[in-house]
Amino acid sequence: MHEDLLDGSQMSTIDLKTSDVNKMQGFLGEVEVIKSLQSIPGIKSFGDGSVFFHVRGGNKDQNLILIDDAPIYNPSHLLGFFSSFTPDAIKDVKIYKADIPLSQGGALSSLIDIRTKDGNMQKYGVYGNIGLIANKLSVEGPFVKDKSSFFFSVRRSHIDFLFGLITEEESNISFYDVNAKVNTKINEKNRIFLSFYSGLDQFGIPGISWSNGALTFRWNHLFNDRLFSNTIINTSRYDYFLYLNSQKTEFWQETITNGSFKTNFGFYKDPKNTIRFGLNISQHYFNPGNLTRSGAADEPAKILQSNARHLVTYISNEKKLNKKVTVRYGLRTNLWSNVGPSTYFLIGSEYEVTDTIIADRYEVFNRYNNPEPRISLRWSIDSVSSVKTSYGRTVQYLQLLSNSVSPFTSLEVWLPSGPNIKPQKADQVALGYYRKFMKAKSEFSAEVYYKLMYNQIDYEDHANLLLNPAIEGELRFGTGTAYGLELMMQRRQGRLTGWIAYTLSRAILEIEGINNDQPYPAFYDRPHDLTVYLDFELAERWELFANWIYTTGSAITTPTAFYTFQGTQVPIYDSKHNDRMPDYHRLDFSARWQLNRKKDNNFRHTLTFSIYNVYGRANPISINFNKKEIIFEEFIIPSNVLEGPKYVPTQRSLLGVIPSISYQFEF
Amino acid sequence: MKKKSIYILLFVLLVGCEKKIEWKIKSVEDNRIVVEGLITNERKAHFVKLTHTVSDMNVIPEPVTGATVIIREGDSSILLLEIPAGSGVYLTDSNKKGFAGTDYELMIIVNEDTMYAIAAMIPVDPQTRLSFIPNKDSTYYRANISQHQGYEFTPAMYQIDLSWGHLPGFKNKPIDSTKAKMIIYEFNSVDVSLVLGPNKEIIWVPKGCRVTEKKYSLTDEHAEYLRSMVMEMEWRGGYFDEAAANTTTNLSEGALGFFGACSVLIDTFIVQ
Repeated sequence: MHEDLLDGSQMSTIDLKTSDVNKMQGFLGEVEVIKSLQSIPGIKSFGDGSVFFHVRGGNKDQNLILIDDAPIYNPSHLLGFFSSFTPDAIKDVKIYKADIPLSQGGALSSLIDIRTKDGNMQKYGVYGNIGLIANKLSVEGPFVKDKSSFFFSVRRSHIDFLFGLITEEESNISFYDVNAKVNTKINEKNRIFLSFYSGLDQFGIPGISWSNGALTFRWNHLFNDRLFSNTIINTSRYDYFLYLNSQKTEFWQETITNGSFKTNFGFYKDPKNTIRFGLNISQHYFNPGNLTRSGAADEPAKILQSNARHLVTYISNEKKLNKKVTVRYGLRTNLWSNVGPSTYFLIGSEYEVTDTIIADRYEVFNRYNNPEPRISLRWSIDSVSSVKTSYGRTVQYLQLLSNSVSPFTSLEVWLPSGPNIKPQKADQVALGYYRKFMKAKSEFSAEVYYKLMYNQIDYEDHANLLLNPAIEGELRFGTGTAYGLELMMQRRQGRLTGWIAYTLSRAILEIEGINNDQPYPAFYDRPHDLTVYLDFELAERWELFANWIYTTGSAITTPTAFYTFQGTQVPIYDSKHNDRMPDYHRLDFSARWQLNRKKDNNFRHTLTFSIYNVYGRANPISINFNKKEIIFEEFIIPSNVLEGPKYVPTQRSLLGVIPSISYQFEF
Repeated sequence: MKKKSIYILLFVLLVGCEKKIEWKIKSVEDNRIVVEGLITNERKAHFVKLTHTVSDMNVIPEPVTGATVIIREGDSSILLLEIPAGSGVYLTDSNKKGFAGTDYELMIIVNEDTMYAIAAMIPVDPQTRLSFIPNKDSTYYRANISQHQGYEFTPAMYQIDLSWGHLPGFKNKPIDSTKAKMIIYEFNSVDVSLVLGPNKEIIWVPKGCRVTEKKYSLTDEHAEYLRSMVMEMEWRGGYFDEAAANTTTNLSEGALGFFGACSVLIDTFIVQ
């Protein structure tokens, strides 16, 4: 893991290169950008089969994922077993857990900044991967040597083909990702990029389908040796469909579209001062979920669609106070405006609708203005150690409304801040110590953080979140508190490399109207988190990898008593998240065999063998108390209310021992 | 064939599994009263059943005996009698009939505690007869539950009584093995855990089975209670569960359960 912990001015930041990600074999041998994040201290995966993750006590929707500056929502394939980004298309991934650069914002807990490859301006290259679930192919090369290049990558699943071998029934389970980029040096002072991403999932007949698309134009301009700018225009779109018939003429659809213009300047005022400033104007459209039916006599209630504008300015200065101390400080201003046409409801203190307001086209019917100050300081103690500290405020205007405890993506509602939903805010302070051990070729880091979050959302019991025009009345608001200690020891050189990381943390919520207004642990409150990752060069052409992950089980609500109604035993819960799932742990092995004898052959190919979950740990995704056993290890919801209660507690888990093999090539 | 076996093995590994576990319930003492009461437009004895909560799974609840249970309808009051004594089941006389458009108030006195609930009876929409789907050789049938799954329904509850003890080959069987009762709900909400919920037991009945299908009207409050109960019981345990929470109630003083008033339509038919 490339991490400029010691020397970089940014703290709580990880820089992942493609070479790092490619080594971390995931489920079914697929290398996963988003899922590899769970090895990083402070980042917790939701669980098996899930692309959701939580950063420093934040919820799953508090992470902004950008691909070449365009936001991506629901970056999952196959419900969450795989993530959307093909490592072959990625140049690098920067993960900010705190101390997020002022040029970026919009999410409370983290920024995952993904940059795709620019394309090789010198020579052509072809890369491919044949796996059990999907195949990938990438091509890059110059249009004009040293002037212009391209990169193109495609990944497509072949699950539908596999299903065709097993069953005669028609299946429609597939996904693909396409990345493309053109990079042109106009002259020494101007460079432009055009990048494109498209991803699509189809699941079942009629089934569900979701897609992300993003297009970014970027212009880098050098005014002189002290002033540069980059200007970005991008647009993105996210759609989610639940089809109600096989003709796909009736469906539930959610859509988010974004368009933005950003311009960022960097000015090297003098050797001690680097000033950055910029402007971002964006427009958003939200359809939180509506039903389209052909020829239906009674249309269900239309759910309010809305528009919003976001104007951001920022300025920061990185100042070297002396040889050892650097400080970075700045301010980001946000003006968020909800814009008509829209019809919205005002929700009263009893969570009921009190008024209906109609906003005309272009009418600004609500505004929020939120400054985000940030400051950080680095003190280089000596050539091998440093201390960093930071404070930052972040603001988030878009929230994912979901009462689901499932690891999978499903029907979920993205809703912008507005008259009834205040923006989420967080204040985070962090302190870190970093040390290099030159002889051992190792690095050590320790960070503590404390984060206060405001306007956090939870839900009324059994909230009705789909096709509910008054959905905001189902929400409850409060605060969140997260704190923790992250330790990591990392070895980057030698035949044996890797890291061991441990996090001790808590995430506590206090929401009005929930749990009798008493604090309770969040679902993702998992106090202990330990990762061991090892990479060993066994021989010239053999490399071995091992990855062991342990986390405390998620906080869950289990019954404390029961009552009987209509012949059914109904659970009673005394408090929210009163219990925990069994702890999660898993060991993965993989071995990579370089097939070509010489490393610098024109044609290079490898075989990778991997075993996911080597000892077959049944990590649960749910604990249930409502089923009976009909035959050995087959459980069902009882239907006959005349039958007496025969419930048994059960645990559902997803993934057993999964061996896989994949073939990679490049030339 | 060998190639197909490998893919099937991979598929099974992929999908995951469910297993029985040992789990100690973190019991908390709960002395609340549970009320299950229903008055309908049928001319019969209507009931209010009172029980205690239980601290563990599969425990039969103790009845609440010796309570005073009254249903008020306008200016008149009906005292329900515990029949049989000690059963916790309190009944009106058998000549009692409820009416749509009327509010019914329940009052329960247990020791020194008094609990109240109000239920309004609304008319019931015409019912569509439940259809049954045969197995491969058409000897056994199962109820077509999917005709009640959707979001555009006026909320309603269906009680399906099935009996086949009168049929040849079943006359000498224990009576409990030749009858069953299912309850099906129609709601007007869209719930992921219904659309993508866990597997429910299928009750197979022989051709010729006698079906009594009762459709009950539900007020919004009654539907909300039943939906909260169903979310905890029938729709939990799949791959798309929602957060666990307590059921609602229309009873005061912390009592659990629900007192409802429903108009009923009855349809009786033979599965064939």
